[in-house]
Amino acid sequence: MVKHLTDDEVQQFALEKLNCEKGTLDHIQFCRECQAKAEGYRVMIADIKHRSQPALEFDLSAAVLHRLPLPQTKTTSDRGLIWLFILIGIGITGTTIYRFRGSFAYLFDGLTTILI
Amino acid sequence: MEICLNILQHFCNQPVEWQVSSNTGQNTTDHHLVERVLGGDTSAFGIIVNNTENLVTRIVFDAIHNESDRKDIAQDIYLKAYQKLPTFKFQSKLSTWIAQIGYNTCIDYLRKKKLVLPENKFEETEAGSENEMLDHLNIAQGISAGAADAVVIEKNISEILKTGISKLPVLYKTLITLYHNEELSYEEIGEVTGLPAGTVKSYLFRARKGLRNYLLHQYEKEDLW
Repeated sequence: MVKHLTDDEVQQFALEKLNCEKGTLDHIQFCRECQAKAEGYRVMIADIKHRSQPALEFDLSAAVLHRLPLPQTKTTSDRGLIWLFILIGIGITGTTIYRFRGSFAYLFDGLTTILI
Repeated sequence: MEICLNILQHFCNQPVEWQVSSNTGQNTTDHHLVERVLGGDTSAFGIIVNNTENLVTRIVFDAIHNESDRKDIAQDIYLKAYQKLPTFKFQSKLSTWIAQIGYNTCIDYLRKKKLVLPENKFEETEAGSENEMLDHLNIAQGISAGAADAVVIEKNISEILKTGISKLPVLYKTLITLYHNEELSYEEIGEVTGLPAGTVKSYLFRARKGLRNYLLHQYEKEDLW
């Protein structure tokens, strides 16, 4: 009784002929049954490979981007406003110091008496 | 242009509204894209979605039958990927990592809907013995082959095969798709499904054998008519 190739060996032959063991190649060369089985697998695999690509019926990329949380980074206008407030603050402080520069000495005159 | 955009982004440390063409996106590396997304550039995530959409869609279609559920799950997969992106360590391809999230999301959905058995039985059912799979395909064992193989070759097997694949357990379907359609290696498929590469190979042999038997069984049925 002829000992045929195992199903895995036949599949391996159908998938990658070059990577098969010599024993497999020797057997299949003369065995019509295993040849037919391998050919059946080869056709089936080719058919699987040609299955059409399924498609979703909507724009996935747009839908996902729409649902993404907003980035936490500050926007240009936010940063501009922060800098504007800082500059205004510096300006007001500078002007105040310049305007009342002569009065600063009197500000702390009575302080020593209070502390004592 | 893209370099200028990156310099500008880096300088401002904020996202710059600019739509990079999909062609450019195809050539952009995973590393670069991930860095851009983490820097706040959501349009870069759009490129990632476009690059991996086919793979994820196949996984979703293999597991989920309901059209509206597919829509929600496909979006959930990417939202999860976006949230987990800071933990991506580049130990695999970005597409493989997203496919893994996709597969796990689908399996979680099936478990919640009780479309697969609980955890302890899951492995056995999803990739159980050969007999179990043949039962899944509604075919008897020990089908006579020989001449039938030749008939299978001659017949237009596409439709029968499509039905056969749809009847396979989700894991087998996914393995067939990832190996034959997406041309992933055994190792990559192992990363997606959480199985060792050797097991993936063994299950693939089993899945193809099941499909062949299904084809032969259908041939025998047709012959009786």
